[in-house]
Amino acid sequence: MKVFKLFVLIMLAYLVQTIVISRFAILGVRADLLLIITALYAVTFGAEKGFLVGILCGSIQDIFGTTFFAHTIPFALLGFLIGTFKESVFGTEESVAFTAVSVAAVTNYVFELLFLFFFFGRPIASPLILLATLVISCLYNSLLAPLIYPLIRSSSQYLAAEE
Amino acid sequence: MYYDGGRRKSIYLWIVVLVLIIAVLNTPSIRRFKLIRAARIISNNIIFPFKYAGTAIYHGVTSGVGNIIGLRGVQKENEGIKSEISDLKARNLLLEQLGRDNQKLREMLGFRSGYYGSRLLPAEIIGRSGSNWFEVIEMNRGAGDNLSTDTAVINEEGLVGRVFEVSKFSSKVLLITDPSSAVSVIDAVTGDMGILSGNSIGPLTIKYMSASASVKAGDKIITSGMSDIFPKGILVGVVKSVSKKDYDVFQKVEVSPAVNFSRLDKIFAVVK
Repeated sequence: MKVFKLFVLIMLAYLVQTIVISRFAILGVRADLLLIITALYAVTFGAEKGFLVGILCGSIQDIFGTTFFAHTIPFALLGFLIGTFKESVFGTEESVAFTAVSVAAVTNYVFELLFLFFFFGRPIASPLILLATLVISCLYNSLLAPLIYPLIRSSSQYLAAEE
Repeated sequence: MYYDGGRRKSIYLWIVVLVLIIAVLNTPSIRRFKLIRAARIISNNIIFPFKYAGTAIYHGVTSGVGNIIGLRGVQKENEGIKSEISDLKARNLLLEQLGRDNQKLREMLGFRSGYYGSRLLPAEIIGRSGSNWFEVIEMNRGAGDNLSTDTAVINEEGLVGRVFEVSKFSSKVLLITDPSSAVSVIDAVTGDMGILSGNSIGPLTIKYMSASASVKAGDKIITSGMSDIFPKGILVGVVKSVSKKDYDVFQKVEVSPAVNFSRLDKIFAVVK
């Protein structure tokens, strides 16, 4: 039941992502709400929950997107890795949200680049464009993270209370 | 860490299973079944009402706020629009007549054009790809509106893209800014041909433009009509820069798109 509620919350986030957030691109680069959610869940609750949320977020992007499993595996790996290193790398302060999402944006970018290139044969843009996208994406997602962090905390408290 | 080694092992196992699934799903024999496409069409049909309602709410909120802000200059703007409409109506009459004459002459000469027999189906964007790797939009027209894959999509500014996936109520459009998009184009001034593809961000690029082509900055780039997808003559963009080296077979041509993709809202499918 808890997983189902989590799924509904992530579906809502997906709708917000595709309808609202994707309209506000900075130089053509969009923020990724589901990536932010995966990173923040992982850094708050650890590797296991990060992995689960990563699978949910990634698979929703894939099912309603354009390629199957292009996001599921990178998101799952990301959730697992950030959760695993949450204490040793990010510490326990509130400022971790910003750092975790920056690291997540860079890691996910590299994962997805490799997956799309090797598994799907997707044409890759020039290195300069890739670098520009990476930098803008990293900054954009990190700036949104502190706004979303309280929502993650309250939603998890709601889910815990329901249980 | 609060979880034990056993759980960690099961996570590793899951990762291996997922990687195996992706490898299997991408084998040519599995792809042939089109199972994945069918699953995606079903999922698109399920989510359509939510996206449609969400877009309506978004438009309601943004237009409400916009109306309040823009109320001041509305009377003056209204007068300007009225005068523009009457001007456009007069021009439209003339163009309709010219179109009929043109079609008659083409029929007499035995010419065929992708435009004739086509109609423009207005559509609204209900979603955009959440990922920066794909330049894809979703519109509220689908198989129910006789839409099929490989239908060209335009707006008042120029070429937007082509439909690549159709569900019952909605369809997905691959924008010309996507790196996997390929459009056969010509320079409207010189007639030089090339293949245009996207870069996600930044200008579009024309590949395979011969080094001897005399294309220059400022030239308009239009569709060539060489494929069955895009009718000839749709404006794609304007040449931004041209660069070539002495030893290159092709020159590098960068094109600024005619369409402002960040403000894309109302679009039209060119239904044959």
